[in-house]
Amino acid sequence: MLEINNLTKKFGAVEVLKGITFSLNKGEIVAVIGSSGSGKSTLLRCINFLEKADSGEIIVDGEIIYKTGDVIGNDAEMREKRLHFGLVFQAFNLFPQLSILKNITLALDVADKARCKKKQISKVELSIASEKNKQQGMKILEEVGLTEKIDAYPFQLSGGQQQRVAIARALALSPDILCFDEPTSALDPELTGEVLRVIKGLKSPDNTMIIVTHEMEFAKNVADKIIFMSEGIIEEIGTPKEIFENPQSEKTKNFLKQYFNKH
Amino acid sequence: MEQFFDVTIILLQGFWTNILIFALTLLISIPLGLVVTFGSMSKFKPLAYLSKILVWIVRGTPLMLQIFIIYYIPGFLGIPASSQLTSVIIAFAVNYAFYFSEIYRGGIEGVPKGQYEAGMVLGMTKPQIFKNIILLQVAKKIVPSMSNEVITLVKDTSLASVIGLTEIIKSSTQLMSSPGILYPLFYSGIFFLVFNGIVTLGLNKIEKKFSYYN
Amino acid sequence: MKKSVISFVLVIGMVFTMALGMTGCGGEEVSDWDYIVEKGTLIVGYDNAFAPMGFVDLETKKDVGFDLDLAMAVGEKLGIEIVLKPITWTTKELELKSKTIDLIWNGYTITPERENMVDFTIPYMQNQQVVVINKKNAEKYTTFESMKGAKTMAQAGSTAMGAIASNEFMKDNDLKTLDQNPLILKELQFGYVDVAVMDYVVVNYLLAQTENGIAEDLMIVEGLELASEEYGIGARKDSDTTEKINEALLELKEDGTLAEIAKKWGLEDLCLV
Repeated sequence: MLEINNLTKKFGAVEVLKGITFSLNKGEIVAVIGSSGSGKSTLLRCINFLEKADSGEIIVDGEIIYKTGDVIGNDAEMREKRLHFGLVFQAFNLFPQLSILKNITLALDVADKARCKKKQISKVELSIASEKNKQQGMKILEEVGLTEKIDAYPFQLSGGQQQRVAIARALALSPDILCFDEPTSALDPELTGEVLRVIKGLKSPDNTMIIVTHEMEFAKNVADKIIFMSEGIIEEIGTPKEIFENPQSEKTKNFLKQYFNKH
Repeated sequence: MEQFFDVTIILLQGFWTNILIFALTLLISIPLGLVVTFGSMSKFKPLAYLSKILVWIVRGTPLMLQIFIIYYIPGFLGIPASSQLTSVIIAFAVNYAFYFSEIYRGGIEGVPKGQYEAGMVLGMTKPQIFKNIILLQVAKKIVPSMSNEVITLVKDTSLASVIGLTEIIKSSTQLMSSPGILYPLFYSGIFFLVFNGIVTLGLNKIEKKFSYYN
Repeated sequence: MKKSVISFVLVIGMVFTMALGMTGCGGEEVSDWDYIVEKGTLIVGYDNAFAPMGFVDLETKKDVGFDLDLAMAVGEKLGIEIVLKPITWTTKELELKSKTIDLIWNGYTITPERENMVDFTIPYMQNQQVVVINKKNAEKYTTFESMKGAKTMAQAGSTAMGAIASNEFMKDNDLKTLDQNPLILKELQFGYVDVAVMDYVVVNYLLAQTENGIAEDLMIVEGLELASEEYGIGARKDSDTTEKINEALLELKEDGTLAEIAKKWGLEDLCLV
């Protein structure tokens, strides 16, 4: 499903990613763990084209969507590439001026409107599409348990609810691979549970996910594969059992020891 | 009493010019300011520098001087002179556009980067993101500063008299000349107060419109 | 996006042309009168707060005055459309030079300094600079000598300032200036200043008005004449327009129109043509 080959990224003189290689099968969940500054978030941002990788390859379903030397293409190409992925941010980044439902349907509506403008669909088809988007938005909100909030605005929701909306927003575009960038780090501890439950509930043979997280228990329970990153490289990769019960690398051992001592 | 009525009509005639300057200035400078903002935020460095220099010049010199320059310079260049009203409106529109552009820039830069990124990962193009996500947030942010400028503009319109345009202050000096009465000068203040009162109510309404979210 | 960049560049271009344009010039060698005839209108610049020469009429709410009537009559004689344009008096010569007007015509006193900047027609009206005081000082200020050291006022940029500077007793007085003659009279009335020097034509008119409440408190000091002067009409330097105006003025005198207009405004004693 997804293949990342030797991905590198520098910010100025600092090498943040020093050649990342891994692959994912459809329906797999990979949790990326590691201390701050290890390059976890940058990896997600490169995969989602928020940063342009310096070299390497990103392959989805056999299609190379990024390779060394690629320049960012035009808007339409970029959109195609980006839509292979969805990204849920640490800070939610909901659109404050839009209702919850509109937050979810905006991207779909905008794309339909653009198609209508280019005469690819008629006005009638546009209104049908917009109704369809609405229905789909409501269906997804039901999945994350927020049906009663469709007309509310983000500021009226708790952090946990906001993050659930953000997840719904990413799901609405049916990405091949859904990425989470520390989805619970900005939340009060008592609110992390509801978000983690929603993510866990997404586990299915159809949903492929990459989750950058500090929640080790969660990673252990939900992930099929754990990647431990340190200083821009994948230090260790394996099943939760391998990583948590029998880590090979010293760095992994130290990291886990520190983590479990603290918690 | 009859004289007071006549005076009111003459001042109203003058104030019509103030209102015209006010309305046309806003109509032109609000969109023009956005164009200047795009210029000053442009990645094309020479354009960005040029915009910054122009912002410096226009904000750094008195509006009165700019009115003089725009009104008199064409004559020296041998270009047929434009009317006083046209010159005043050009001067006001350019001046306010540059002030507005700085307010817009502050507003645009005040929108968190995450909003753009959220739009991008949802597959929206930059213009789509600006139009559908950023613009309204900027508008909410800039309403208070814009309101200040708009109220200042109402009062600034009296500067049009420096090139002889008969706005309300000039009308009242006319009445000083004949029949030689002074009270219209003070009376003209009422016109500004009433108009600014109406403008303030309108601005409050706009501000309220944006208060449905935080 | 491209469109906005283009319009932005246009605006910058426009602003720059204006900013850099200080040194440009027209260049073509057409006589001033031909230029005026070609564009079809003769633009008369006047101060619309200068009664009785040009001011707003309470009844009609339109600008009226001796100079406006005279200008219209001259236009009729010359067969050219007159456009009356209110201007700011302080920048009148700039208006003329930048061709936003063709004539300065509004109680415009002929002085040597001004003759360097504009071409004058023949003088058409007599004026004097007179001294105005508050009636309660009637005993105190009777001669120029008695006004030595008095707080003095005159209209900014007016010939009254020159008259004061060349008066041996008043030249060192503390001099304050303002744009508006009626405000100067108000200061006299309030006692902010002691004496004011201004155009007889203007003061005479204002003191004849009853509604302004200044007439009863103020007076012209009789027998004190600072300077006798003449009003002319100003055209651009080396203009042939002055000849045309002069001819028209003389014709208006011949057919009695001038006297008629002067009488209407109570100025028949001061006409020079």
